[in-house]
Amino acid sequence: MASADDGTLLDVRDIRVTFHVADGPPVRAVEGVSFTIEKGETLAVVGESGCGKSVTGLTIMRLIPSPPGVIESGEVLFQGRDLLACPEREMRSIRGGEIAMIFQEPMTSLNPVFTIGFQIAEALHAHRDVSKAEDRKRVVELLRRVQIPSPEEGFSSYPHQLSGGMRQRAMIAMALACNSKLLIADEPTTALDVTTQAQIFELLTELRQEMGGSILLITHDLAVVAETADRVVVMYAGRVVEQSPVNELFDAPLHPYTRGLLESIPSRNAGKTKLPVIPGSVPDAAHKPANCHFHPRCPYARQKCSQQDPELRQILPGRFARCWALGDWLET
Amino acid sequence: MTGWRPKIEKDSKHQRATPTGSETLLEVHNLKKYFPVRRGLLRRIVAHIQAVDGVDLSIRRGGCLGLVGESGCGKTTTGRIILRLIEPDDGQIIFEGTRIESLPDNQMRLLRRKMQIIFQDPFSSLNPRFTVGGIISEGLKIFEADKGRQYINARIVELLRTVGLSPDAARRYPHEFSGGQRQRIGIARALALNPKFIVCDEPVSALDASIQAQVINLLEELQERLGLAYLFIAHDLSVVRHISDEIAVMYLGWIVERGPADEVCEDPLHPYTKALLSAVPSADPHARRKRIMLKGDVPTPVNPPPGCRFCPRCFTSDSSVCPVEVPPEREVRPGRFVRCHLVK
Ligand SMILES: Nc1ncnc2c1ncn2[C@@H]1O[C@H](COP(=O)(O)OP(=O)(O)OP(=O)(O)O)[C@@H](O)[C@H]1O
Ligand SMILES: Nc1ncnc2c1ncn2[C@@H]1O[C@H](COP(=O)(O)OP(=O)(O)OP(=O)(O)O)[C@@H](O)[C@H]1O
Ligand SMILES: [Mg+2]
Ligand SMILES: [Mg+2]
Repeated sequence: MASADDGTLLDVRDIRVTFHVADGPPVRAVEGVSFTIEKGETLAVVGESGCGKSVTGLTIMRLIPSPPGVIESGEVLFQGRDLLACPEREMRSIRGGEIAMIFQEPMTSLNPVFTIGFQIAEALHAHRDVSKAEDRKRVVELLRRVQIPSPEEGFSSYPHQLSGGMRQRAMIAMALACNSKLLIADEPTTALDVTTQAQIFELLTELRQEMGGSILLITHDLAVVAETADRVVVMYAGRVVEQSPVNELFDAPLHPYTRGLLESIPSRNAGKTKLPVIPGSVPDAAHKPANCHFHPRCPYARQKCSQQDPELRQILPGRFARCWALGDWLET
Repeated sequence: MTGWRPKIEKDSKHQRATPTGSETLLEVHNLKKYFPVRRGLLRRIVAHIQAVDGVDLSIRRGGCLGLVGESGCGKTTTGRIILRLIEPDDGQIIFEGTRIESLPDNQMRLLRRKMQIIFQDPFSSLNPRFTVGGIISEGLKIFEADKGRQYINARIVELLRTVGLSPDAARRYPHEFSGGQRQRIGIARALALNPKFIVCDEPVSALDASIQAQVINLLEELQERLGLAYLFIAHDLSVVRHISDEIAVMYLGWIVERGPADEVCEDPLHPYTKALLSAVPSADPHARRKRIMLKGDVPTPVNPPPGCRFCPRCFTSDSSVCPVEVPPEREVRPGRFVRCHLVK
């Protein structure tokens, strides 16, 4: 079992989450996901819409809406302690304390009846002793760091008065106020344009260096991953299909899905007229193909892929993939 | 790649109204749109948002102009003015040699057949109560009703095939489709009346990587096959570069730089273009580099700075001219236009 001082901060083991919806088959959103995050590391979770990234993040925070969601099994060891087994009261002090989260939809975590400034100050108070007088200055400083235009005015704005991008930045400011050991950032910059995005990532990197915290970065943007992550977990249809250090992943992707994704990026196809595409589309979560979920779209698929489920196995040191055909195409 | 027409001098009004050669499909000059900001009980106008302030652009027949810039800089407003979905406050729009900025509504409606738009959000831009067939054929039923039901049905099937959907999609409803498929439906709708020109307003921003590539390929294929011209609006420079032959960079209502796509991306001249390019994540972990970070608060188009609009965030500005004098657009190299005092 991971202890608090062996370098592992978070150890997610085989989590399974199912949504029981009224008028349809159960949705197996996450089917046995495992990974670890080291202290000071940025781990990126990538994959296309609906593959279970947010559900994974929410499971760590124990924020899966139930019903309809059920965490069926698994462990989330944070500094050696299983968060899925600890009392809700303790969990409440961990959220926004040792673990902070930036949500994909900022309105879910901003309270519409309080000003932005008040809410960020709350986050400061909850976990640290701060004098009232110092409050405003610190909050305004945080708002300035996340590039809210006229931070003094931003302090006294209500969430609905801000644009989507500004709300996202306010959320980031709130998460930064907590000074957490682990920051879960779910698509933190999707609503922002590239220059602001660059500033936010610079900021996150700076803070990580300052306080030595870890980041779980959830995104579908591979370019963002290339810029910021140390290691990458690639998800497809509720499962991890590949896990690799960032350089290795981009230099020589293992799983055919990772390979297809990387090939379709425009900036890696400069001068080519046609972008390579993965045929077909992501399966509906309630109707996933049996066994390897990727096999109907896979150029390397063979009979075995639709008949037996591949395991996530170590292919090279520190590199894991879930694929039967892997041996074949590594040779080609 | 020489689609940029030399800028027409301010006094040559007649020349502007006449066709400017077969190459150019669309030109706009000095386009302006100020949105009023109203406050108080009397809804008095207290200020203006200078969303688009003196924009010049030109697009070749069958060409693609990429329009990039930060959120709120005026890209969507520019695209919509060109289609006259928003009325400009000033400026000329010349489409196939005809001034269209003040065409009466009935003539403009006829022209709209040739000018279409694909919207950013594939989820809210399709009417959920219409079948896909109904959505695609809306324009056909207005303009080509005389050709009969059978013609329209055949055309729907043809359009669905063109965008890679199966003909039985026609009877289904938008919510039954994924984001990429919905964006294809939006494209089919735009193609229905055989347009010459389509404004693509962030057509792939809401889509996943693997679906993005499918839609971009489709747009390029259609461009080639049907001789379409695009105004391609996006904030992702790598996508824009891939599909465009010319790029225009917008900042706070101004076009600060325009020119051939590869030249602008490989040798950016305006400091804002440089910052924008350096901010684009590269999809290559070995290429992590020091970015040019723009300093200062993000300005608003309500009270744009005097002089150069980019000056307060610029890293090269010269304090004697930049904050006081408005930089004119200059052609600093053949085909390359820049609004900056300092570019030589
Ligand atoms: N509250 C819920 N009720 C029912 N199904 C849900 C619920 N939340 C998530 N799901 C389903 O679980 C699956 C995984 O969803 P999740 O939000 O984790 O996707 P994601 O990878 O974060 O996608 P995106 O990139 O679009 O945010 C999806 O098929 C989704 O429809
Ligand atoms: N109908 C309107 N009334 C008032 N202001 C408007 C209106 N439409 C746009 N604006 C303002 O004009 C400016 C330019 O908006 P526009 O939508 O053109 O930006 P954009 O470049 O398309 O941004 P984005 O990348 O976020 O879509 C913004 O400040 C916006 O708030
Ligand atoms: Mg999500
Ligand atoms: Mg827009």
